[in-house]
Amino acid sequence: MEEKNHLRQLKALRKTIDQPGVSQSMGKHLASLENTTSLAKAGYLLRNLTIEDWNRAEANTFKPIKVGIISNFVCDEVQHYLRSFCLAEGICPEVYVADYNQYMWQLLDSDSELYEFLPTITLCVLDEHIFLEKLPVDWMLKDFESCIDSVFNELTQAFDHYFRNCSALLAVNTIVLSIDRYNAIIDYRSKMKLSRLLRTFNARLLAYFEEQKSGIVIDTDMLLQAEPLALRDVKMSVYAKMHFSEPLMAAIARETKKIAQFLLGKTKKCLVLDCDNTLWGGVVGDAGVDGIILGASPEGEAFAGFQAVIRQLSKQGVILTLNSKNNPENTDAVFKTHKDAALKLTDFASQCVNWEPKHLNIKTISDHLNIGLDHMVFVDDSDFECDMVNKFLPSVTVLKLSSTPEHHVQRLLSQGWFNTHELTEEDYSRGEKYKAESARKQEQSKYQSVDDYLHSLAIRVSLSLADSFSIPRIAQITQRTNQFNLSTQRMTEQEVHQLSDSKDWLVIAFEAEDKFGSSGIVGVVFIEITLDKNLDKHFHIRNMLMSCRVFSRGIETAVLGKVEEYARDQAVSTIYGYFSPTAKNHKFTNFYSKHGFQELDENGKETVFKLQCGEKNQETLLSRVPWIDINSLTTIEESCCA
Amino acid sequence: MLELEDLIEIIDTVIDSETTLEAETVFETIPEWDSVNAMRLFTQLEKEVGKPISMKAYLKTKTIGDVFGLLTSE
Repeated sequence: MEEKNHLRQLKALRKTIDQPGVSQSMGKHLASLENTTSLAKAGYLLRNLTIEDWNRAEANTFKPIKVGIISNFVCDEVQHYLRSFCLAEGICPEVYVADYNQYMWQLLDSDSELYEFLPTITLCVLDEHIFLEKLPVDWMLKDFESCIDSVFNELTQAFDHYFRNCSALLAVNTIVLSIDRYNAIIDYRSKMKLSRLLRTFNARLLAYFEEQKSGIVIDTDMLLQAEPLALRDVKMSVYAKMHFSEPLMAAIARETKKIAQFLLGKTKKCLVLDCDNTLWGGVVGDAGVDGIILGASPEGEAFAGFQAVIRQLSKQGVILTLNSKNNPENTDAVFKTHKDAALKLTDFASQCVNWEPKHLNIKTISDHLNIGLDHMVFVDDSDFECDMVNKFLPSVTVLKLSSTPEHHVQRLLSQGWFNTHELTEEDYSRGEKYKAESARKQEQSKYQSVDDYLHSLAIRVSLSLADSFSIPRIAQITQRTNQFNLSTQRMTEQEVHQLSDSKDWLVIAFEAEDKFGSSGIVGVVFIEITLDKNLDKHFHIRNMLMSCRVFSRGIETAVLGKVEEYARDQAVSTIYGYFSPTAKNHKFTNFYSKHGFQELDENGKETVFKLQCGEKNQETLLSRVPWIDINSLTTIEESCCA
Repeated sequence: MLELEDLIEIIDTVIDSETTLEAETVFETIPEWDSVNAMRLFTQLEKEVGKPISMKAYLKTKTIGDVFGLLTSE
């Protein structure tokens, strides 16, 4: 379909957005748009639709996010690109764009519109005019050199103020000098120094942001590599003070969408890979291990390079699985013996190498690893297979590869599906943990009863208060976990820090291990402590989360039991539990009532549960899970106070 | 070759107005018309006709017909 037709469809469909299926089909039209102009038009056409409109027919299909945009030039267009990119991924952005060149004021005034808007992401877009406005019109290199420190100091002071005022993530771009400025300096010695000064400025900006818990720097030079992408359109720069070209503004919007994706827990976790003509050229069943195209020729190098990148992803915590129509002996032989196969048999957490329909295999992998379909990316070269998966499993992201392997890497990475703010120790060893999980599943089949099996695992759970080691992982759990997430509040590291520093909050992380190995930190409990007018103490479990990897072992029961035990030791009179339903967590709607809590109140958005302490409930809670060995909260409290 | 009706469709998509647009429509009378939309329209027109348009001449136009004249001159 031509882009114009997609736009016509969008324009027509927006009127019937309250009808079932319409918002999703609008998302599909948006996802088909490629050229910058269409993306801008589409984003503009949809500017007046709110999150309520998008979710009117089907609740929770679109997730809201608030993005504040500040700049030293006119970059209003960013919002339209952002809207198009986000809506295509099921994210509905609410955008605030500050007036022209108001960024300093917006950052420095604690009552500014930006802060009142309460953004989740603040995007600060800057161009060379942050220098130029401080320079005489006939500036020479020495002028540039003498202004650069003051620009840096003013900027970072404003950012300091921002980080004190606001916990929302701040994204800023590196500064690029336009070629006209560079060409206006005619001697190469000065040109070299100008280049060095600019890069030193950017290096200092990057170093400053490395120290910030919730800051990200977008590397403008990287964005400028895309073809065709110019830094600016001189005409728009002169007449409209639009100092970045439209494709560059679109690229910045795309980066912002990637940030929104991980903040909303939409990061992809698992790659489901085809083999023939995906990981190597040719069909191994016909050509044999020695006959496939992998390494040793330009085309083979392209496939080897694709495997290498997949391995890099795997080392950073992306789970790899196989879904191939083959005899397993054939594919095994490639991963075991082919000298140019970067991927080894042990890199895959799950394999479906068989003659089953691929969408059924994906379902099997999803169940086996307990990873939601919407966190999977299926990669295949066949139109037929890709269409089947699209049709039967619309929530799986499908990457249909072309017949040119040299483009595979770019296709796999450009959408930033796997991006996250900061990897933790957990990520680097995730592959191992999923493999252990596979081993557990096999072990389970040996036992007659679930109880025997659970006893055989020798599960140990340890609770600890959040500290600088666990906080990055805790923040990550709030961002990645969707099923066992009772109130689904996504948090940045800085927000977790604030709670753990507060004397009114207990942030308790829990780790799990068994005979197959450690699963690391798998969950967290956020408890707010309040005193009523009778000075009675209450615990409010504002949120409790647990990774789906350790479901069905009773770990959550043991943890809640220990929280209750601790509450009684602390003379707490009541524990309140809160549950907010989402599309993903309905499995745990009755979590609190199953654990002896009484349902108090339900207002559609949140259900409140209550447990009177001292009702000796805890014995029954812990006695429900005799196969778990868990430490007491009191001991950690003492050790942390000591 | 760009026809007047093509131009009107482009403007309609870019400005997204309830107003009925025709050759005689004066931009200033379209409620959604502002400097940002004027610039958005400009860049999209340049892409549509595939050649540079004089910003100076564009800023002098008053009606849709004027813009059509500008795009189809030479």
